[in-house]
Amino acid sequence: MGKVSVVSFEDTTIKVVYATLKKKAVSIDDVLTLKDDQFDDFLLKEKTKEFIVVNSFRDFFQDTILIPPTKKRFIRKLLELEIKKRIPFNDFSFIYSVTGEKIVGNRRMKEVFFFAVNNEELRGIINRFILRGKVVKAIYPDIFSLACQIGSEGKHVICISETELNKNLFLVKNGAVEFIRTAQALEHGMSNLDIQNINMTVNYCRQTLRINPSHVILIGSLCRDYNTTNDTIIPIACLFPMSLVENYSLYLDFISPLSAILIPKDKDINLLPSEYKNFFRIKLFLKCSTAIFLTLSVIGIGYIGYIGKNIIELKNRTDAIRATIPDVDNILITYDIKKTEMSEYMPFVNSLRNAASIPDIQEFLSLFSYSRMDNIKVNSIYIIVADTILNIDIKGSVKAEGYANIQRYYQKFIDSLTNIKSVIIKDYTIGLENKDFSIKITWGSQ
Amino acid sequence: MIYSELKKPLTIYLVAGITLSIIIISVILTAKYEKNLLYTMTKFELIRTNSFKMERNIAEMNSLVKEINSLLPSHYYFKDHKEIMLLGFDEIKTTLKDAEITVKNFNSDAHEISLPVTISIPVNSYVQMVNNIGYLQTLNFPYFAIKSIVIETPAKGPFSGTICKIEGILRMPAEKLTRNKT
Repeated sequence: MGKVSVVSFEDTTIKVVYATLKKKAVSIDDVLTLKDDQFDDFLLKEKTKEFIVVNSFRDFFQDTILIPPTKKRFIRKLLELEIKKRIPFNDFSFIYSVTGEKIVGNRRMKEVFFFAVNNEELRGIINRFILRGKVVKAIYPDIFSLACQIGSEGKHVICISETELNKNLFLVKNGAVEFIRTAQALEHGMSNLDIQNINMTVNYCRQTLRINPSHVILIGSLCRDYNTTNDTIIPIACLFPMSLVENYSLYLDFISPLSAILIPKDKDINLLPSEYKNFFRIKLFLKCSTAIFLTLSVIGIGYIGYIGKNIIELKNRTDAIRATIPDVDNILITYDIKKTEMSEYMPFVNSLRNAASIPDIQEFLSLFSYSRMDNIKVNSIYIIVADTILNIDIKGSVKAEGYANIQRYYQKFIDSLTNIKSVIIKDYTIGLENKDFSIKITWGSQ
Repeated sequence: MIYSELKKPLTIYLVAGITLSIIIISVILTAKYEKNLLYTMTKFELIRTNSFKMERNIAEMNSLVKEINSLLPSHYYFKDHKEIMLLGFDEIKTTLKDAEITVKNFNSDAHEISLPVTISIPVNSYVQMVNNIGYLQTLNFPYFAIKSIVIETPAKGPFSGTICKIEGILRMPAEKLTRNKT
């Protein structure tokens, strides 16, 4: 996943852990323990650019306050105003957790625990890094980063950790700190005095806070250095996260920096002042934007390449077409001259067209001569020229005896007329008394 | 201060932004160029097609003019329209020797000059009659527009008594062509 470097300030001792995040497990690459006066030299020589810092704050301000029910995004602003009234410094950073709700004077109020630190102290830490060209990604209070590792399943537990000779006792529910107490001790590890302190804290929780902690959890080296003859009034256990099992002894000594690596993303316990948070926001924005710009640029270059290929093809085709275009100017001039000339000839063209549109009478008369005219005498042929057809009226008589014969020859004549191409018989009549007939036909292109 | 750390990412960001801007502008320009090139190619194709069409039209007009010139009588450019018409009429009279030909007055408008003519030809032979009609139909400048033909044989007479009466109009365009055309 990624390399992480964590620096944990634990009083006069500074512990450094280099680790690699692998999905949900952590692989410890290297650890260092430095004295405070060695740390600046270490930073100068160190190649790692970015660090997560865990600090054991001595001067902090904690309290639980009640605020009216409000939207989540307004809580921080509201709290900031409230905290300003309660603490002696104006420039501070704080973290908070909503621990519960209370009914106060018929009003439902939110119970919020906050932990505030003077920004002077934070800047003091950060500047040590900045002056040596390093960047602090986050500053976590050790108590809170440790609390994130406690899975209390909805129960209150009292945790105890050690920083040099100090013992930190804190009440945790579902990873959220609700109360912190720091106690001076005479020696490292757990002693009877510490057991007494634990019991006092349990009693305080029960009597003052009305909370009944289920058990005590020992964190870090306290699990190893347990030299006491007294018992706590509630059960006691050791913290042992499953994701870090490589080296138990190492884990106990470096629990503070290691816990900072495993902080869940939804836990906002970063005390970094707003200007530094803004810095990381801007940096992330620049990184993301640059990535988007570069991706779009690559797509754009690809598209330009695609268009470029099309352009080359189009240019070749255009050049090929242009090469085959004849002398347009000359053609236009010639065409205009010819067109003018043709306009003069158009009446003649129309005259020829008119003449050509008249059906060919000679052709019809030739075809008519082939019709069967046995015993038929044609007396007259009237031909009237219409637009594209000839209206023809044929009159005559049948020279035969007997009505049947008359009809036979007459029908033969009509049939033969019908056989002439493009002839349409419009009407035909015969007078059987006088044997005279009249046939009306049309001929011509239909 | 810590913000000096932003110098490098900001520089990369600006370079990437400028690069992207240049690429976007290039994409727009090349896309426009491609569109215009495509338009030009289409127009060139149209010009080529139209050029060939015009060349073909010129050739057609040339052949048409030649054809019309070949149809014009040899005296066309030297004589007046009415004279040409009457020359045509005289030619009909000369060709159809047995025909009785009557003529009315000239009609003329802006486009055409016409001369109504009635021709009565005694029909000795059907073939000759058909040929005579064919002759009238082949006339050009002036051309003879047949309106009606009546072929009548007396009811009890012989075929030799058949008369073919043709009514038509001798027609010619009113405009006069100028000479020395291609």
